[in-house]
Amino acid sequence: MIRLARSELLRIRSRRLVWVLAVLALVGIAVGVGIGTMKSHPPTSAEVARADKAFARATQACLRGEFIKERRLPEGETLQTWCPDNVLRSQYVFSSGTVLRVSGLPDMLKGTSFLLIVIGIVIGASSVGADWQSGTMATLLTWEPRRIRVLLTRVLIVMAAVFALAVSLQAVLGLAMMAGSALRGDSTTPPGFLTDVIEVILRVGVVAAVASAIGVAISSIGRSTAASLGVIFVYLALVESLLRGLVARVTPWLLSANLFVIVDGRTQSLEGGDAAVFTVTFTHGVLTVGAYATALLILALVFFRSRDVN
Amino acid sequence: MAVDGLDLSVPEGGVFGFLGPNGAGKTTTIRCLLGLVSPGAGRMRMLDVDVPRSLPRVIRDVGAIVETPALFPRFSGRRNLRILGRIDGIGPKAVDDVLERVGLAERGDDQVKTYSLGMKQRLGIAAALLKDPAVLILDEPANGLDPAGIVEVRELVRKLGGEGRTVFISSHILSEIQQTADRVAILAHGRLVKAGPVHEVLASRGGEGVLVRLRDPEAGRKALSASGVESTVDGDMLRVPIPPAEAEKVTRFLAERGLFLSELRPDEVDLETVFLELTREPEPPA
Repeated sequence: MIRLARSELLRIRSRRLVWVLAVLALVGIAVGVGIGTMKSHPPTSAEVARADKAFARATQACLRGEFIKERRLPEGETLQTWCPDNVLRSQYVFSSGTVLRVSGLPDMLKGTSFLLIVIGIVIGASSVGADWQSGTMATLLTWEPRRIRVLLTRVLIVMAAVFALAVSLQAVLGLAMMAGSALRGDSTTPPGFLTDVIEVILRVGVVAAVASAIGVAISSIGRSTAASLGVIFVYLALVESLLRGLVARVTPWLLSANLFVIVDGRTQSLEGGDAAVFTVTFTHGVLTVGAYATALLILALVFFRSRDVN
Repeated sequence: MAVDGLDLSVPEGGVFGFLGPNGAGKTTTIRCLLGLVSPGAGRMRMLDVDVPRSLPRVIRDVGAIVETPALFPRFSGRRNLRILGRIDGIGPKAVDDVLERVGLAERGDDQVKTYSLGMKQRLGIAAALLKDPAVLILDEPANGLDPAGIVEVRELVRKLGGEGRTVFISSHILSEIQQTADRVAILAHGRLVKAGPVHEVLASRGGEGVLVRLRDPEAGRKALSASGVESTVDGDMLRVPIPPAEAEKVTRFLAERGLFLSELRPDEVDLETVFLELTREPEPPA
């Protein structure tokens, strides 16, 4: 299995799509942070003083329940615990102008997680779809006929590669943000900032890796990259939206909602149809996404093992 | 049903030709052997193990190409082979050697999509040879090759068979099989219609004899008949059913009667003739 893994590693390293996606992401980071840095200006002392007052007012307003009603708070939370996490000084400081703030990095990483999930799905689906398209699956199986071993090794290698790619890209984004904010913005960070950033990076990396496993599984069943990507995106964008609106009670069990909860790392209040609100914990999110991925992989293994290869 | 009731034994060592018209079930049989397709019933053994159940135990000794060799078009030939080689811990040196052996050393770093069909075939053979296998399964390896390429593949197959390997080769280029194979099996409509050493398959049709060209074939027929040798007129030729080794009898009998031949050659039956006769028969009723 180690040899097969080494072969799969060489294969994924050789794939142009992986490098193209990585380069595009790096260009996106360079352009985005570059523009942000160019448009940013350091705050004046008057802006800092004004923003401090605004932050203090906002904190008080939150504690009075003006931002969120107590009944809408996630389970186990109070205004005293919720407000410090959600009303941040960085949201009010420098509000008079455009300033690149490194303190906003965790939210930015969460915001860009969608792109990394898409990259994970595309790499995962194409890693199997390319084999079916070029007919190389038959060639591969004349070297390693144990199909379950072939698919599991591929899943593991693709997940590891996507995790490494996602973590690297986020690290580059973080470093670029730090450099840009130190140069022309605000590089002050709240307590626990670095830990927060690392946790977000790891969570997003894991979610992207799981997304790639789902891509591998669907592509193994569909035997086509394009069809598999179509199915995944139609399901996430259309089917889950419809389900959320029409059958509100399934909201806590939807894949996209639980991916969002994992990325955020905290218990979330999710709205379904009929203004219903559901509380979804981080553990629930992990277990639900894990169940989706496991079920799809088992299905993929059953299909891959039993169907003829032509 | 692509293959039905096929009972075939391939001896160890040498080149075994697997013949049949398109759709006869050759590729399906190979796919079954390699575990790519599950047969509905029956039993297959390769290198003393049941396949496909125990194929992993012997796959290290089996090299194969099935139909057009499929490799990643955007990777170089060398990169494709290295990816496959790593599965068995085969290093870059062996990859370079096998590329050299099939004449692709200079184009090894080019993308496979830039290869001609013949080069892709040779790369496929290289992939099959990479394991240095005891059993080599080649499905139509001469497809798309130019005449020079066909000769190269023929010589390579002969050499591989001569090295003690078992080369199982399917092809529709019958002259190639006749020149390279020690034994053949002919498949039609998913069933085995003939199998055995090439010379036995050829002899099974009968027709051993010599062809004689004369100015007056009818006069020649009568002359031979008078000497106790029956023959038939076939156009401007006389077909005489005696072994070519006894052809001097024909020249003597004819000369004794003042008839002189302008050509005498063995009445050879080639594999193509046998193949066409065996596979032309209607499909047996189900």
